Amino acid sequence: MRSVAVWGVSESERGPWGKVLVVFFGYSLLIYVIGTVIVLRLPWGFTRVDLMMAVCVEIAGRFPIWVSLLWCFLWGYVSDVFQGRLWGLHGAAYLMVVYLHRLWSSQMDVWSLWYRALLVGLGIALQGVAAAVIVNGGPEMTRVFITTAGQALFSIMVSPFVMAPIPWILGEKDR
Amino acid sequence: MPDWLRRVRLVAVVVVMGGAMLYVLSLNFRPPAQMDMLQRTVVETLGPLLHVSRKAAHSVEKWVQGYASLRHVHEENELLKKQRAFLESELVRYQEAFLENQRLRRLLDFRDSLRVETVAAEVVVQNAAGWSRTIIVNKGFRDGVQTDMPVVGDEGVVGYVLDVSERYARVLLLTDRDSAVDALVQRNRVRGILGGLDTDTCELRYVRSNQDVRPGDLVVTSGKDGIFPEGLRLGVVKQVSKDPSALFQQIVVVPTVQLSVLQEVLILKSLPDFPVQWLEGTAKE
Repeated sequence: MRSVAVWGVSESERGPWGKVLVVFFGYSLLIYVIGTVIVLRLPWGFTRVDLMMAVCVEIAGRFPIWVSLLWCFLWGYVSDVFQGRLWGLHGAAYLMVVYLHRLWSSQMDVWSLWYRALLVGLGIALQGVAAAVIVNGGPEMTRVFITTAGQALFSIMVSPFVMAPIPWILGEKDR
Repeated sequence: MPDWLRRVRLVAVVVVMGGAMLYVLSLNFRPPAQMDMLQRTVVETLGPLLHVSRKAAHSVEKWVQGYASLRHVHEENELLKKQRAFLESELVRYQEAFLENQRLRRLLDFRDSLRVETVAAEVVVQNAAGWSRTIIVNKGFRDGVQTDMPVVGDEGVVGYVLDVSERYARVLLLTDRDSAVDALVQRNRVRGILGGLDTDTCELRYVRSNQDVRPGDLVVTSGKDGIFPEGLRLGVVKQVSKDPSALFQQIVVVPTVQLSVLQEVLILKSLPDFPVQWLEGTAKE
């Protein structure tokens, strides 16, 4: 398998591909199940966030671009299937986050937790605004935007907890 | 890698990605039908896992609730706490079984009284994200479930079947913005279309401002949309706003079914061949 350095991280630092697969399938599935079974059932609208966005940011930062794209398509599609509406919205939001990460990676400290948490919040906000524009419209827009802003803030707070196990799984040293 | 191979690879990636995007986007314009093979694979693979996880989460939730109710016993003594914890967890189990029994009994009574062929189903995934209200239930076309079949609970209408796979079906809830049910105000037969408003409420649309609708009025199905039988309970009018300059009034309706805590539902496999006004009678009671 080709050794690819992704944004300054060599393959040896990322760990063997078995661990990559654990993150790609196992950990992503775990977060998806937690999100679907627990987070989406929480009683407050602002807490019902897409936890997979945090995984997406980590994937975008640590894995080669084609792995990120594959992840976006796969997990975006799985989310869409169980959502049953607005096909492509999850995948598009994940792809947008991957794109933004690549765009900014040369100018920002991509290993800063703040940067990654804010990117998650931005992704959630973009996803929420897109959904609000497509679905809601009309007089409820203000309320929906407030909920979306709340979801973005909440996801910024929660995302470090979702992202933290990934470097641990990959066996990376502290940065 | 030779330059031509690099170009071929790039073209292949673009074609595959473009194809995948087109496929996913095309699903937005697809009429409701059986899920395609890819969707079925995802639902059939992850469905059981999500079902088990949901049950496990439910048990943990109950356990936590039971434990929380025991916290004050800590202050008495350790032995008593252990005894109490055991008894409490047993009690929670029995209460849970009792409540489930009651729910299923009500559902069974309701099913018997409907006199139509029904399928009982359990909710596997409840999707209450900001922009859509759907649930996945554990019955599919293997059990005779088809698109557009009405889904009800013992308290009233839940929604209708949107897509079906072998063992699972996706149900569009009443509270979804794209849901539309032909409805009547039971008291004076004023007609409108009931659609979703937000997570917990619906809106009775297209009711003229000069029509008499009051908070507390019961809204039932009209039976004229070809999906739901007549007279099933939909919800209760919560709020009525009239704008003198507007053609229609704004009517907020709270569904009779508590959609956020739904666990079991009935899927009506055929419409009854008689009017079911008696259901409205039960609603009055």
